[in-house]
Amino acid sequence: MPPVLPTPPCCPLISPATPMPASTFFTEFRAMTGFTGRFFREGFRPRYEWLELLNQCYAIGYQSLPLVGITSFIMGLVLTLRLRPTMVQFGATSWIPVMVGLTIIQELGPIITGLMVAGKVGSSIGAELGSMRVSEQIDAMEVSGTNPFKYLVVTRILAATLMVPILTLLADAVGLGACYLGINLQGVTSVALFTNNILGRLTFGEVLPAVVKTFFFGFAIGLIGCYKGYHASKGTQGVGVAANSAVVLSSLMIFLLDLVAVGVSTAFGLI
Amino acid sequence: MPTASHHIRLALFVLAGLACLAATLVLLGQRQNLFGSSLAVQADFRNVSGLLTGNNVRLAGITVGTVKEINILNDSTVRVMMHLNRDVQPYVRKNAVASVGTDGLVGNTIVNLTAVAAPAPLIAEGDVLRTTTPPAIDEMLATLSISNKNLVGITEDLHQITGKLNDSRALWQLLGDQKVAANVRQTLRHAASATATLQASANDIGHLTRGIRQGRGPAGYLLTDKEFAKQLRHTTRQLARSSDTLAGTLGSLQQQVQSGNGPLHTLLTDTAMSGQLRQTLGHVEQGTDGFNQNMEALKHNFLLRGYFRKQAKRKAKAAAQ
Repeated sequence: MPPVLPTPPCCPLISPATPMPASTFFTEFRAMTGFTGRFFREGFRPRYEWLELLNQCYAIGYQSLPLVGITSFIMGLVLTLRLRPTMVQFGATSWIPVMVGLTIIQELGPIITGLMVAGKVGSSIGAELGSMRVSEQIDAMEVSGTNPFKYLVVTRILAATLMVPILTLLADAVGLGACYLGINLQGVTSVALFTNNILGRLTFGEVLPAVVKTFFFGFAIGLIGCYKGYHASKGTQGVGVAANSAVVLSSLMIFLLDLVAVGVSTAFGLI
Repeated sequence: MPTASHHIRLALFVLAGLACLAATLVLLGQRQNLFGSSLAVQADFRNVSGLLTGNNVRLAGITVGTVKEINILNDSTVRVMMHLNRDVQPYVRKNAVASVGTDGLVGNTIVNLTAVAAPAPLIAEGDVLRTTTPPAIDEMLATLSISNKNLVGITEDLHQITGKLNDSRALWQLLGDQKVAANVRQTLRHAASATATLQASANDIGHLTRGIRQGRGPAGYLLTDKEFAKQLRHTTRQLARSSDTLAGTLGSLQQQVQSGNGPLHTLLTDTAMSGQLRQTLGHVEQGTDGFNQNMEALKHNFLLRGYFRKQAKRKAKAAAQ
């Protein structure tokens, strides 16, 4: 029987409309740290919920692809079209693939994907688990001998952790395709030249941190969504607050993690 | 409920993402020579201008490797280790020169390898290449600043000169005078003619010089004939001997004159002797006049008159012919 953590007063405290007192922040932080520790304790201990993990991967990854793909396509195209007049003024149109490519691969792709997944999946997880909590389905699972944490939380966090990087890679590809399209709308370039321009300026030190940080983005989205939903209270209102605060906190956490990633990359001399 | 189609779609989705990652890594790895065999060479620089590991190494503008390691050896030397593609080993020699440059004005820092046109063995693992330091941008800007100052001075001088030229009435009158133009034209024509003459003279001199060199003509003979030179040397030697003899004779004569002995001293210093000599010469002159009169008389003598007439006729005939 897993230890039952005290339910923290999460929902009103994370509401973006009201400022959080320092004591409440530390209480919340402690509870979330404990939640994370429980994930690592139970996540790597049999029995594994493979089927539910696949279901969550499908829901979080595959079903988010259209949203992420469209967003990335628009961002790549818009960035190229907006950048072009300035680059024409400087006579540096050949640098457009490099600039857009580096921007998409290093920052825009991971951030856009993270925000989209946080909006779509974070809220979904928060609302789903929150409604299960307030309707006492999670309690029922505990009573019936099923480990709800392993079944509901671990699978969702793992799925988000694994799917966000894949979504980011595909979003990068779509964004670069849009950049190629944008360049050819107002000029001419070949696929070989476009690829060489981008790859000629890229190094592993620039690509790998951008990929690695998306694992942390996915982990943060899954963890926060599950935490908020798992600890929802106060009926249907609490479910709404849990979904909302999951999105807000996940989005904020993505930017914080990005900042940390830049700091770590700089410290290791990768950028 | 999950279905098999969901799982297939999920698998394709994951495979597509992993394919993107793999393609990126493979392409980057190929560019950075991670998968092929490479050749490690080194170069010591005084200043690497922001070179980073992973920057490209280029030979004749083609990327042939990457920078793998940068270490500071001492306060004035930075050692850069480069991995070159094995394929380019036949084209890089030990005397190649490495320099740090940039890819365009605002591009990445790169290492350029420049081949030297001199025989050298092919590069090998661990070789240390020679380096050169291209002029830095700040040095170029400093030079440009000096050039700009000089240019300002020159343009100011030019401005003053053109102002003076514009204000000069004499110059404009000179430029507008058609007579001056005609004179100048005529002068130029004369100068052209003189030049042509000079050219012809130069040709003649050249011809003459060639002739002299080849021993043609009297000058050529004089200057090139060895036999003549020998004779000339012999003659000069004889002349020198004669002058020595003459000098000796004159010396003895001078000695005689100075000592007061001998006929020469008497001839030059004895006044009675000179008076007698003058008198003797007067008698000889009188004798000669008498002799001339006698000879004229003989011409009119009947015995010799025929001979002189025949001689006069022969002279007249020769003159007529």
